[in-house]
Amino acid sequence: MQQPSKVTFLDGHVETVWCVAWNPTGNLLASCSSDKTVRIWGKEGDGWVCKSVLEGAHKRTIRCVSWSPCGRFLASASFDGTVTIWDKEKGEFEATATLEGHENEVKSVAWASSGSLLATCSRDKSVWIWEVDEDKEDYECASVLSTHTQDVKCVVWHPNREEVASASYDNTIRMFCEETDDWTCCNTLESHDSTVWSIAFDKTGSRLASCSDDKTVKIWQEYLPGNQQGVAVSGKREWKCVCNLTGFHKRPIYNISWCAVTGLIATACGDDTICIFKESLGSDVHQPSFELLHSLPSAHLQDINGVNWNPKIPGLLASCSDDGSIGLWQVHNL
Amino acid sequence: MAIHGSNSYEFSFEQGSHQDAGFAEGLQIGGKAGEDEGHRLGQVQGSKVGSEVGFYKGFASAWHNILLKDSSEKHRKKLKVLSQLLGLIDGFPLQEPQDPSLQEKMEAMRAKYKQVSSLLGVVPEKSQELCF
Repeated sequence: MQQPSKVTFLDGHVETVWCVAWNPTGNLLASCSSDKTVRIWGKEGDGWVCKSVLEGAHKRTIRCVSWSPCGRFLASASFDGTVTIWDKEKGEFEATATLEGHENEVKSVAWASSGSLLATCSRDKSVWIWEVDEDKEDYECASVLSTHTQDVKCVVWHPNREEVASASYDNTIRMFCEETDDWTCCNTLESHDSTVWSIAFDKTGSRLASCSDDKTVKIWQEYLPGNQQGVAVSGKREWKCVCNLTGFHKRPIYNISWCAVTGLIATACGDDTICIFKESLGSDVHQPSFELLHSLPSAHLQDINGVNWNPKIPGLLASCSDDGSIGLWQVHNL
Repeated sequence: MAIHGSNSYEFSFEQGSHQDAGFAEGLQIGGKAGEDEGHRLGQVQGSKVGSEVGFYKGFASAWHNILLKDSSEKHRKKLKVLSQLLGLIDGFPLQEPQDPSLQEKMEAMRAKYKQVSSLLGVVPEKSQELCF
C-alpha cells in the first residue's frame, strides 16, 4: 500500500508547536507555539505560505487554537491564564476580547458547533463554559465546573449536542451538559491507567476516541436507556469502552484526530511517530476492530504534539512538533 | 538501631511487667496529648472553613443587595447566579464536619464564586488566600 506522501513542511515558529487547527472550510491552518505567536497558513499557487502572524496578545506559551464554526473567529488559549478571541471580520486578525478567570495555565479551548458556546480548561482543574454574544462580542461565564481532581488537558464539544467532554491528568474523561438550572457532570469515563491527553468524537457523535500517557488509544461507544445490548444506563446515556488499541506507540500519545470525511483516526506521539488507523471491514459497532493503516516513524525530529485532519480535503493531515515544524501529509487510495 | 526488642528473652518477668505498666501509662498520656492536638487542629481547620463560607456569604449578600436596587434587565443573569451561590451557602453543612459531601459542596461553592466574580468583573480571591 502506498505510504502517505509528505506535501510540505512549514517553518516559521522558533519554538515548540503545540497545536494545529484547520478552519471550517479547510483552506486555512492555524498553529500556535511556545514562541507566543499564532501563525495562519494558506495555499498560494502551488505552495503553502504563512499568511499572518498573530502576536502581542499572550505573555506565555500558546497551547491551543480553535476556530469558530463560522470561521470568523479564532480563540487562542495560553499558559498566561487567558484566552484571546481574534476576529478577522475586517480582513486582518484583530484581538477583540480577552477571557480571564482561570487561576493558571489554560490548556485547551473549543467552540461548540452552534457557535454560541465556548469551553476552556486549565491546570486549575476546572472547565469553564462561556456564552458567546457574537453581535456585542461579549463573552459571559455560564458555568465553572470543578469536577476533575487534577489538571484538565483537553476540552471537545459533541458535534451536534450542547455537551462538552474533557480529559484530565486524573485519568478520566468527563461529559458535561446543561440540566435545569446549571451545567453538571453527566458521565465519567474511566479506563485509562494514566493521563488522558486528548479526545475526539467521530462524525456522528455516538463514538469517542481517547489517547493517553498509558500509550493506548481507546474507543468509547454511547448507549441509550433500553439498548438491546443490555448495557446499564443510569442517566440519559452511558459511555462504554469497546476497543483498546495497544502496542502501536512506544511513548505517551498526545493528540488524536478523527476524520469526519474518511473516518480515519490519526495519533500524534512522543515517539516521533504518527499512526493512522482504519476501522476493519465488517467491524461490529459494539466490539469494533481497527487496523493500523499507516505508521510514519520519524515524521518529525522530536515529540509530535498535534494532528488534525482537513475537514474538506480527504486524507490531508496536518501535524506539529517540539522541533518547531508543521508537516502536511496526504494519505492516498482512500 | 537494634537495642532490645520487647520480646527479647533477656528480659525477666519483672522487667516485662514494668514495661507493660509503662506502655499503659504512655498510651494514656499520648492519647491525651493527641486529643489536645486534634482539638487545636480541628479549631484551626473549622475556623478556616467557617471564614471561607462566611466570606462568600458576605460577598454574595452585599452584591445581591446592590444589584437589586437597580431594576434594569441587565443584571438579571448576575442576580440569578448570585441567588444560586446564596443557595449553596445556605445548604452548606457548617454544623456537620463529618458530612461526606462537605468537600464536594465546598468545591461547588468555590466554582460558583468564581463564576459570579467573572460575571461581576471583579478579580476573585484565590481560595488558598482566603485564610483569615
